[in-house]
Amino acid sequence: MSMLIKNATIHPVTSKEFVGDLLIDNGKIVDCSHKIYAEAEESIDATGLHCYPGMIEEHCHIGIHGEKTNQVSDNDTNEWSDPITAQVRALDGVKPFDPGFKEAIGTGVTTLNIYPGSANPMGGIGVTLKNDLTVTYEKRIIKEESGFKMAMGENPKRAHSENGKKIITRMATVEKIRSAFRKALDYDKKEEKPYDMQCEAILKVLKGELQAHVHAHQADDIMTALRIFDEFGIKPSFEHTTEGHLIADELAKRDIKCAVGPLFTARYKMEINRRTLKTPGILEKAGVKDITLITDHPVIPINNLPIEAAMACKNGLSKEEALRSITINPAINLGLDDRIGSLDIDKDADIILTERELLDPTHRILYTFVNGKIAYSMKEEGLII
Amino acid sequence: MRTLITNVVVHTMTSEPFKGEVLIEDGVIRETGYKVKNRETIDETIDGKRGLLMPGFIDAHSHIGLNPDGQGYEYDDTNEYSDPVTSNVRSLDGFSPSDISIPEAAKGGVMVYCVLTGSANPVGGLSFIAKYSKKKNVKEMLIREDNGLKMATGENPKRVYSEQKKMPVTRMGTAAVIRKFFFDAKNYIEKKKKAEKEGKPFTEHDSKMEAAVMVLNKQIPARVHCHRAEDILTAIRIKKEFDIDMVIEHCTEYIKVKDEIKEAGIPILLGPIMSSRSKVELRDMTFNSYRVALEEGILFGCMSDHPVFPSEVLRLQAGMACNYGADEAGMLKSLTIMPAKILGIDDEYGSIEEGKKANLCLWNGHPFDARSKTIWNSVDGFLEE
Repeated sequence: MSMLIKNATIHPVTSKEFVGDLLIDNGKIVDCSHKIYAEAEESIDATGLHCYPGMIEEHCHIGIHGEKTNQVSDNDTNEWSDPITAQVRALDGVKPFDPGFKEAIGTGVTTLNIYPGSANPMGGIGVTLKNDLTVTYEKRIIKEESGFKMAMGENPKRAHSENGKKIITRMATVEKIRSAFRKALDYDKKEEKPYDMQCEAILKVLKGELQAHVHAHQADDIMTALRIFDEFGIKPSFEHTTEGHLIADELAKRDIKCAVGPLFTARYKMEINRRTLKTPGILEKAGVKDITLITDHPVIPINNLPIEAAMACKNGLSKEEALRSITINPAINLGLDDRIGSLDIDKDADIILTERELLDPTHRILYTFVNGKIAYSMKEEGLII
Repeated sequence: MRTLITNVVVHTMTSEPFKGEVLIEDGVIRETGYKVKNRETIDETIDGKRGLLMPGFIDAHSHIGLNPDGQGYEYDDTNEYSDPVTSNVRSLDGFSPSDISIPEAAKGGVMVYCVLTGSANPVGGLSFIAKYSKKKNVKEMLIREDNGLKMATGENPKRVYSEQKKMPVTRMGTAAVIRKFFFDAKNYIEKKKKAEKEGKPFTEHDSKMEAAVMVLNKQIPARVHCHRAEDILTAIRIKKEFDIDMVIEHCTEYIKVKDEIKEAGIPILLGPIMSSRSKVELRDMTFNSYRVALEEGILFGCMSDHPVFPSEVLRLQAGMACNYGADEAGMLKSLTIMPAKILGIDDEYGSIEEGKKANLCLWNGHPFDARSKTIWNSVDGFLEE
């Protein structure tokens, strides 16, 4: 099926915006220029509207948290039975009919990366889904193993001092991580090795096949993680990075990927006491590349994603980087930038049409396209969020 | 011993019902028809009083005898919750033929049951198939032992093991426990092969692994307890990953994933629907499942999960499905020939055909009518008023 979006203000995100047309065919963007003369089966007159790539949420717990009922029996975020659960996969815990998916599509979020929680120093493997609710769950998966979730700081301490006293301090968190890495390396050296799911998962991280995404708020936790990863010759990406602004130079120098957020929560725990909306701007000025903003849904609801970008922009992040931080940067962070994240030719036709500019909180999503199909239409469904 | 049953409407389950006769010889159906031809040396003639002659119903998912009704803790041997993986236990070894529900079930026309272990463990134990007998001796009842390996997903394993602070406490954990079980079994197979190749005796027999090997070799199916759509999808994912045979038990959210189930070609056992929504994962339970399963033409059985819903009134659950639009003849098949096929005993049970076991019940009215009752069966003969 082909569709022509005509006369929109097109924001490719990877280049400057312009007024023009965009042609979708067979789920892909096939042309994007000032004037397209080709015929299409359907067309939308988008005069006065803005056209952006669908947003990407790099860090959320939609579906795995179980919001439909909010009962413990439906919460599958943290496999807290042990500090090291490298072998579990978010893929197996996601409830595809959870309400967050619909909320996300109404917000214009077309790709969701879902991680296990942060109770465990090694929590498990994330999954990336296209947010296309018209196809079965299995067909939405675009990366079955999208990243390896790890955690530093308060959460592992709290979870495991309560459960069996396996971790009491940050020191023990580090010890668990270090021994798990060592155990996997020993496993790898064995001549004869019965298949071990846990070691195999950790080895993928050590061999650079699976990126570690480390939950860390405080600057000291970030520095500790860098120290351990240095020891094993690998590079972490950070999630939350709440005190990133205190060590921005270090992060820039090492070219570390940082996901920042959620930017507006209560300071409900000590490690987010120094949270500030200025962090993304400070990181940008220090030279940190590909800054990603995250909502950590349901910590804050997914519909805050563009608002976070707007607020970060208000507090010092450039407008260009603010737009990138919810589109192409998370795509780069997830290693999917060849496929999604911008309005470039040959990319997946994940597109949103808005009434006003996206960084204006009153922007209003009129259409969300996923893989070239209309996945949400405000006219048909009304406002979802 | 040759017995002729006359003056009955024969519901064969494989063809249209007809008015006629059935000849039984030494417990096996010899002939059926309007007037059977083979009329010499008949030892006994039974006047069916224009009743409905049907095969004994097959309750393919029951805990009858394993969780005897009204007997309390001392007799309850359903869940060996000492470990998340107990494939080395067998429901046969916990079965009590003295369960008062056994003669009650026979009154309700249920003459064959598959007795499974409970759903506390991701890997529960081996099941067996029994038929009704007056003798309190399991040898008289046994049709097939070790016919399937019970597994469980969803709420129950989470609840049981979060209390014990063991894996699994999430759906991710349950999937990981099951996957690890099969990976371990593959390692076990390799170890055995190696010993054989080297001509050494194998000295590490492991009954847990032996059960897994039976599943991996497709000698028996995995019988996976799933209520929610996501749990069903996880089970299908595991089936594909390890190329095993599978039956989905309960399948409460069947309608949401009917296409995936059809595509995977997995038989399902639906029920109990005629019970309370006693836990969160039963929230979307509906009688419509039976109608949809019939419309989709998949292989399914109507089951009781006795004592959750008493096997004696299983027929009323099937009758209720007709209230929701399910076809009456189809629902009769879901109590007879379809579960026989799922259990792999359709060569002997599940229909009234020449050569099959004479496992029969005579009804004075349609079994879906609560006022009807069995007046005769092939084990007890005529029942007292």
